[in-house]
Amino acid sequence: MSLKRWRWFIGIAAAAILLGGGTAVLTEEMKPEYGGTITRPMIYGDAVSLDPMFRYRVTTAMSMMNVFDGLVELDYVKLVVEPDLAHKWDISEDGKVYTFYIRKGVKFHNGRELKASDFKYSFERVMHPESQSPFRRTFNGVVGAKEYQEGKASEIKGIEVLDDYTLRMTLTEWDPVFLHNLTDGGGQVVPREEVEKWGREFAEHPVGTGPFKFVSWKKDDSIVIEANKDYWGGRPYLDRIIYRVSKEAATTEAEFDAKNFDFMVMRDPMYRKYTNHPLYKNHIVPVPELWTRRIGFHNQKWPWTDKRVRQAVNHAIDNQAIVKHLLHDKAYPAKGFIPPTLAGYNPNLEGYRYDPERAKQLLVEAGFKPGSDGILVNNEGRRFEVEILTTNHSAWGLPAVEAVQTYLKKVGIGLKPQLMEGSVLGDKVREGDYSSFIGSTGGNIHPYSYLLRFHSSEWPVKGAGANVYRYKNEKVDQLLSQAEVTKNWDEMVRFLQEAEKIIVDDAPMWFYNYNKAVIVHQPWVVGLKSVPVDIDLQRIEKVWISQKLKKEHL
Amino acid sequence: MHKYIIRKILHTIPIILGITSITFILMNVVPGDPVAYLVDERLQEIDPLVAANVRKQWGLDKPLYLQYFYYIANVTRGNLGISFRYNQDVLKIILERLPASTQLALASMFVAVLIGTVSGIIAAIKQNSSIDTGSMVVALAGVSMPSFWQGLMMMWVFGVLWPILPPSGYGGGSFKYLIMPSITLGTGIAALIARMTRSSMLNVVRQEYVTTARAKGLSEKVVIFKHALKNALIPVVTVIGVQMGGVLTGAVITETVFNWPGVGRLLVDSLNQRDTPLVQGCVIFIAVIFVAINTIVDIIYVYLDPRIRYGE
Repeated sequence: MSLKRWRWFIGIAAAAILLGGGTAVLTEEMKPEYGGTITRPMIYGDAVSLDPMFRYRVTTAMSMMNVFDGLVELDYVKLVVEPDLAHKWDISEDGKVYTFYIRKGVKFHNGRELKASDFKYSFERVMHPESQSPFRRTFNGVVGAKEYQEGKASEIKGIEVLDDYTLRMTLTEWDPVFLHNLTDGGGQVVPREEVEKWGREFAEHPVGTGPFKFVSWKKDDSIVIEANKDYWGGRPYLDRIIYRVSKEAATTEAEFDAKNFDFMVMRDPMYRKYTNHPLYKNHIVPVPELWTRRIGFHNQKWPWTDKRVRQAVNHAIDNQAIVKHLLHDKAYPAKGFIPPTLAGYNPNLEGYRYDPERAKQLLVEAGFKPGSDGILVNNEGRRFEVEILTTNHSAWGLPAVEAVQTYLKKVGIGLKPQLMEGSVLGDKVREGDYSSFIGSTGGNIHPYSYLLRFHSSEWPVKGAGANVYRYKNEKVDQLLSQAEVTKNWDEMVRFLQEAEKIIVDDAPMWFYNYNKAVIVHQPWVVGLKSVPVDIDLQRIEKVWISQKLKKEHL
Repeated sequence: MHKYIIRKILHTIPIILGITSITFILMNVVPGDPVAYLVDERLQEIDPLVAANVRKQWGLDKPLYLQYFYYIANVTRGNLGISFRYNQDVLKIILERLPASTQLALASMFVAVLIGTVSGIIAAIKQNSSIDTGSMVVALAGVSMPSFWQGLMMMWVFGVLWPILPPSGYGGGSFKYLIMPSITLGTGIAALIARMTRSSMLNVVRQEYVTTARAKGLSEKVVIFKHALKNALIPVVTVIGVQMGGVLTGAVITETVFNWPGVGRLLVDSLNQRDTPLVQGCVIFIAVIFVAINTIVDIIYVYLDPRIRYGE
């Protein structure tokens, strides 16, 4: 070969190395692209229904939130209510009357135009006496809802269709969380003719107005939705989303590594691997979710009736160390109850520092002294050994309990785990048949709802009620009641922060951690958000694929 | 033979009744309220009004004995009830999973029978040779290896490191999705069949009629495959029948590892969610499958050994 040709080859080779040798990254010049399919796993298993009025399950919500719309929607990142099918609304001075103005020209996926009467139908469907929808509570405060639910009325009087595009809803009293609750599955609109055509099978043939249309549901295998090109908000970027059932963590990981899944929510064992991975560590989306993990105490049973004992337990356990070494930093140590991403979070709240000496001091003040084997004994000779109900959950189950056992033993407290299934644990906790238990709670998108579980009116009665700790503090009750009635957001937040401060001081529980949910995604996926409600709930119409990056990495 | 089959079908009725009754009792005595799951999957906040309505709708407010009788009455009419969780007909839910389960069962049994019988026959013919020893060591490894581990290893090698097969999923029933799960499920059973075949063959080839066949100058191939094998397969067919029922209805580990939408996984999920109608429906389905397979095995016996007659 001639020298000239060699130079040509060397030049081409050098250019190829320079252009193709490095890993391409997303740059500001790259604009959203239309087209492509995203495949993601359903790590909690298959949906059980695609009917929005059963959308309380994540397995349903993650797909159907993209198929259905409501009057209002929740910005899942900022947790504020925004217009959806209602482009604006008025609220009366007393906060009881809401008038919604519906967008014109919106069509269901079957082609029929949406009208205000569709909302009346959809909401009455949720409240029907034979409905099993857990979203009934959304409309419990609407005038006439009780009579309708009891079968004494043929319609809900408080839901009025003023004209084709105007809907009025009248409440019996001001409800600070009404609009927030309307953003959930019960507030989403369905076409009457499709529901009546399919009957029970509508749950397998959903028809909405959303950015994506339902294509297929192969049970226990996959759900497929495709772009609604006539969507009123503009067609989504992607053509198609495939949700594949993948419960087994190792299998999900293998599929992601084989690049068959475009993104996935990480399980705890995967966290260190991907946060240290040379490629994927730059493609992580973390968020403190709205879930608080704790060990709850039965505040009406010995030894938990004494606040000093509860505070001592909080001082005795190093939750930061447990999060670091047991959870590999896949959680945020808790100072209080409200997570950092929820409005009302108080960054100045002082939690409990790890201080075993302070813990011992408090226990002495509470009347305990060490027994011959190191376990504390009270004045009546009763040993400080308590049972804790637990599941085998890797993050907030038996492994965490075993870590806590070690800390508590150092201050003279014996902890005896009782391992059981989640449903059994839930029953016992609601019935009050426990001394302490470990679990995860939360999921509420409004700070008032999040703290309401500490109101004494929420003590479980016949199995219902969120105050499973049987905690009571009159000042907290008063502050929560004040937060409920005020229409001033900042004032509400002040009341809630004051209530939380008292709750933390009372320590009805050990404040363990806030969940850190994390998504890891392939380099070509753009637009995933840190969604604190549940990171699985991604608005897919904003997500797109960079074809250039995809070609580079496949 | 027809009378035998009819008698077999009639015997199924008390078996199913007994199994259904035991399942009903067990599902109602184990802790965990199915209504709680129906109202709030997170088991946190149970609205008492919703819970009461749900209990009434599903007939769970009635005395247990009434619930039992209504259920049995419906089953006799072929109505297995409505799933708590899916709010769909139980039989429909099970039948939706049947094609995937059947595919996996047939493919894995094919792998198991092919590998098991061939290696068992060879091991028997070459008794005490290195081939015999090697086959039995491999068989022991096959029986000892957990299917969970084997499945994940295969997935990692052939799905990720050397991606020639899809790691998991059903793929609409496409063949390439079936390869790894059926090999995972089939190899454990193949080991069992190999050992049984070898043992049975060794027993049969020592029979006088086999010696006679050899003495008549027949080739070894004819002696083994025409005279010995049929009789040697009788106990093997029993094992295959039992295993077939198991893989069709209970391959939950393989189904979970490979995201295979089968009946086994459906049963375990419904147990965890306290979906009583679906659990009972699955149990009845499994009982019927086992009875059907036992009947088929009995019919095959007749073909293998003409001395066996039923109903005469």
